[in-house]
Amino acid sequence: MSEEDDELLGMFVQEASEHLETIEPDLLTLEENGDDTEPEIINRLFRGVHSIKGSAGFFGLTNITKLSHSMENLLGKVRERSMSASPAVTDSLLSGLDKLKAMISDVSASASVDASEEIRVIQSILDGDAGGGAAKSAAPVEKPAEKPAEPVKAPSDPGEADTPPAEENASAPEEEAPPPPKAPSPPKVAPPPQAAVPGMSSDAPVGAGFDLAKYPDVVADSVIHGRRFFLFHLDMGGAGPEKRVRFVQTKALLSSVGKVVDTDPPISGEQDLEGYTGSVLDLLIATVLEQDLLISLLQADASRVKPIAIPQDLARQVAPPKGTAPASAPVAARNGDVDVQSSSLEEANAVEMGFKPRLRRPEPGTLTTMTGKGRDGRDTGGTAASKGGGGPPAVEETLRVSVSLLDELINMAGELVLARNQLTRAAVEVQTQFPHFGPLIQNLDSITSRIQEKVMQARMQPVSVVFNKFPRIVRDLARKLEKKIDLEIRGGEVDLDKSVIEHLSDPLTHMIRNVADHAIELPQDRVKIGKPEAGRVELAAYHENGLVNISLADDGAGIDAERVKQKALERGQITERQADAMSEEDALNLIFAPGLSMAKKVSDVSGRGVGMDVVKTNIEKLGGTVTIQSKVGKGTTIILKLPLTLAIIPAMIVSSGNQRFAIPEIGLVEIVRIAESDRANQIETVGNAPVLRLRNMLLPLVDLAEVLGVSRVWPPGGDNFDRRERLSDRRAQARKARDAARLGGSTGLAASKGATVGDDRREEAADRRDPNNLVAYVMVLNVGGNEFGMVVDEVLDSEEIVVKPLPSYFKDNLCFSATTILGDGSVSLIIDYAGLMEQAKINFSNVERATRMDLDEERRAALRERQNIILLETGTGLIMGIVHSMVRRVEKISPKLLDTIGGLPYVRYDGRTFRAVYPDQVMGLEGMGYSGGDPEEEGDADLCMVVPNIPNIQAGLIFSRIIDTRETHIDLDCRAIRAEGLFGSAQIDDRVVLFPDVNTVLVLAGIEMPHTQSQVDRSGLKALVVDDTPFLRALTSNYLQSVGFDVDQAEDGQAALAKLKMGEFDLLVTDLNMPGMDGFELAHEVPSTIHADIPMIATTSSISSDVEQRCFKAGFVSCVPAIDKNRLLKVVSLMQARD
Amino acid sequence: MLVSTFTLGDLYLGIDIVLVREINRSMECTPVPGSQDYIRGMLNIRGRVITLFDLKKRLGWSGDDVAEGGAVKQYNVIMKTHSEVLKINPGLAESKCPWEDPVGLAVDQLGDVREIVDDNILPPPANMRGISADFVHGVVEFERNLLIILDVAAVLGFDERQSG
Repeated sequence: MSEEDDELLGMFVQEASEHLETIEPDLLTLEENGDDTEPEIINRLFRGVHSIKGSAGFFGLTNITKLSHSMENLLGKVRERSMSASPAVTDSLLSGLDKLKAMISDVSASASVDASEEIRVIQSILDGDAGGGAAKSAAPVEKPAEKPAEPVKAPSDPGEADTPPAEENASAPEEEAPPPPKAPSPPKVAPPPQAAVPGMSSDAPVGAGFDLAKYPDVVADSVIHGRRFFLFHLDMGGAGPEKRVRFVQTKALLSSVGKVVDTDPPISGEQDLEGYTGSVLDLLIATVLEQDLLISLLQADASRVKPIAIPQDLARQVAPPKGTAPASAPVAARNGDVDVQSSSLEEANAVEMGFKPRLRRPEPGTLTTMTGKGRDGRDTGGTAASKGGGGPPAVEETLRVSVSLLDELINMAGELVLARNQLTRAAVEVQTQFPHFGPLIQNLDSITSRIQEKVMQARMQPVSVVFNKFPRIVRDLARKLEKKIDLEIRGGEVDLDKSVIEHLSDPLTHMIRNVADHAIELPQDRVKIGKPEAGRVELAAYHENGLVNISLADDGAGIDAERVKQKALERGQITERQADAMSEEDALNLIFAPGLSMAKKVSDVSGRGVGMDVVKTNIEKLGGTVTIQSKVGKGTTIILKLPLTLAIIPAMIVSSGNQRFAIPEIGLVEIVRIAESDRANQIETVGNAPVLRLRNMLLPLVDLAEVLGVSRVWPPGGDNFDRRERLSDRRAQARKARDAARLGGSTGLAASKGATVGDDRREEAADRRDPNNLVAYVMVLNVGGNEFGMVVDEVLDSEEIVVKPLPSYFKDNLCFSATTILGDGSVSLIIDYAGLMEQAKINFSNVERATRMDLDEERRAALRERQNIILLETGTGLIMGIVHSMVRRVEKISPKLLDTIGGLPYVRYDGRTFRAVYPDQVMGLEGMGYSGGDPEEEGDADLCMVVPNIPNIQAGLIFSRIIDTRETHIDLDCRAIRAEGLFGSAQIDDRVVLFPDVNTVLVLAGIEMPHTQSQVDRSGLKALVVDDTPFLRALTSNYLQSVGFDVDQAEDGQAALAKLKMGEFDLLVTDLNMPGMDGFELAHEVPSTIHADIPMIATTSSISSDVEQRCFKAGFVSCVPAIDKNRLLKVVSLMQARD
Repeated sequence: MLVSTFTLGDLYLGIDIVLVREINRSMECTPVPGSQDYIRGMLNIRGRVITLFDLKKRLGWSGDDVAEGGAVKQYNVIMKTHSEVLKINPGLAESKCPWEDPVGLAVDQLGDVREIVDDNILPPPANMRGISADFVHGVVEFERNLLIILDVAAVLGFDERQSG
């Protein structure tokens, strides 16, 4: 096959696939609505199949032609309402469609595909209908007329001669066909030797033979104006005047879009009509309308309107040889070589023009806009075009462009941005001389940005491209599994980058299969438990936080977290201890573990244990995340969060060993800054691997420069001076980029990370010039649930980078995933975390777990004195500190999300409503601070919402920004500043930081705590709180005081013992890890005092079953996390009950 | 054929000009940690990421030779890719231009563009110094100079894959 043909064939495949894509949903609609289906849909189906048939014929793809031909016949019947769209019909069509798909996906092998079964089924339906249809229908056109309906077209279509007898409803028997007079006919003029279709009845309409050659002027005029000719069988039943009125009305209807050229039999005047005896009057109509529109205009049965072709040579005579008309002749001739039969001009045209126009126009009312519906040849041709006038409502035109061209455009748009940036920089100087230069640059600037944005948009496709295949899949699955499933699709118009779309199909299919197989119960079971018989599955796409969320929700059986745990235990994927400690959420996430199948039995739909893990890996490869929520008996929701594009990602630019690298923000958990002076405290060595102590876990560390073998510049102060300058220049840009990132792409978390780092840098600039206080940064990265820290010298910028493929020469380097070009035009490498981990030979299963356990008590105690706190600034400029473990999460929120409902402020976030609490106002401290900035300006800035780590609470504390996170000693002063809801204050970095008691603050704000402690009243009782950390001591005391205890405090075991010997106490709450005498030793000593039976509660920051065991052995009643007020008080209340 | 010539130390080298996309003064390039030592790094030329080969190191010159050349301002000969050559000369693309990624070669000095007659191209003499015969397509004598026509595919490491 020549190259040209190859290209054409490629187009055919592409177009046919597009047709198939629309045929499927339409068939499903047909199945659902049966005979009530809108004619437009049936027409579309017919046209789709027809185009495939025509084009396949052109290429001699006999198998495809045959199958589509029989499908077309069946659809033709349905279209003419001579056959009802029964399930048998749609079934056969769907199976035919599948076969077509298979053949078209591998065109070259299509000849060897056996489609005879499908054809046979369709044929048998057609045959079976032949009698019934005829009996039922009196539609005149179904039956061949005594005068054939369209002899005029015979000369135009040499292929007609070879017509196989398969097509029943196409053309007329030959007997009475008048030989087309003086038509420049092909050698064989004979219409098909076709047997009369059964059911021909005596009242068949009088046919009409119009020879267009008789009306050369009209034809010429029509060709120029793009009119087509149609034959219309006007019903002439009824009384004389009625006939006339009908004719006049028809004429009037047509007056604006065409005209009645002639009638058959000819009539001289309208008066004649009253005496007309025939049941049908044939009109020759010239109109700009297409057949469908003409039919709807005339409100006539589709079968009453037939297109009439303009013979090629006639058209050529009257029109200059341009456009598609001349070219179509040879095509038509080739067409004749294969056994394609064109039953109308519509078809002939479709075939002729199929390969010409590249301009497409999506049809109105279709589901998708981008995938398009393939061409519609008639719209674009020269002779028969009917763009103007009564054409369908204006639709946006689309143009097919190759992806590589788009990529090039994106590339160049990126270059343009760089050039713009350089020009902007240069412009600063030029502007002093040429004052008009500034506005010019600004103009260029804005145009450039818009170009880049639009070019990126061009790569976007609506998710409906993927979504649209699911109705079919769900239908098939439901049948196979004997379930009833209603699939609802929303948000199909949401756009995603082509690259993302391409990789979305498989994971989503997996998920849908799972839902149909496992989640949705059998109809009878559903009815039993009071659910509607049909399961509801909702597939939705929507934007959130600059990501696209795709959610799949069902109202099925839900996932039993306990069962998942059990399964995982059986398979040895988790240990018993892990299972016990595992939250429901974590347990649900186990279904993403490889090899875990929840299906009770393996079906051929799903249940082989491959599936959800593949989903997760695939989605993560796309830079997305998967979350799952499930309620037993209620249903499951799986949410995929995906980036809009893979071509541009938010990344942190870091430097290591004097080289800059890009680190994708997906997977970046946080950035920890380590001052050199703190290095010794924070970085330890376990085995021979460096680890970072971060809160209460140990993070394996990887030095980026070391792994990559880049020569290290440590300390990185050597060349810092120049770099500093460059940095400060860039800072303004960085800030801009951050804002853009916040608006455009990265998550709130990522943005806040950026902000934190930026603030750090500004504050610490002075620190770093001091050679004794050099700083390194640890990027905490998450790879498949495991975290590790990557040490870099500097964090430079947060940037949206354009991802470019890695040259093949570096493919074997694990550490890099791609390249990018930075703002200054230099090339930079994008780090691949997983590869880096592999290169650094970190094996999580050993390192992390082992190190977490193996830390000896002493070190743990030493480290535990430090508290991890988040420093936040309130709207009024107060600085507050909240212990990290009190915080579930911190969200960046736009002030726009703030609402006042019933006089109280609320935040809408993540689909839920949070009560907004301003801690400074609640505690009556707002007057103390100074206003940090222009209040109006603040109105627009993003706010921070701290969601406290209290179960079932829908409230958040509102701050204006995060200042920092710190791991530090807190020397809490409870006297200097007093307010209700305040633990006290402390000095951190020479600033006064207030420590609010989050629980009390929420209560003050009128929020009901989930576990009301009011029934616990221990007034009059005395408690001793032992803790070496003043802050925790104050905290615990505060909790106990809140329920009435009279609290005494001791800072270690010795002091506590002394106090126990002196006074009377009813409760002892002690920290476990203390210098001198620790909690266990204290517990050991207690029986020797007068308080032998005193209830003891242990507090600890790192709780584990080991520790709990030891506590029970030592005689403690319970062991609770240090800052967990609820648990502490619950234990206290239980004790009371025991009393 | 037309040959774009340049020097590398004492060597007088040439590349079929159809394979050459452009020639730039050398610019700052980003080293790729862990890559072969004869790969100098990556360049950005109008949005394309170019892998730059250090031709001297590729030819196996010792450290001294390289250091000497490193100080002088060099030039980068940026090659066309397979698909670019395909549009001009499909035959040549198949036989001599297997690389798909944009690449460049760092050379010392630029020479003229020379027209040479294919018949004058001789097989590389056995006693050639400074370059392995594996990288040589052929030699042409020019004004008492020996012009060595580079086998770029071999230089880029495609030799075995192609001939094998």
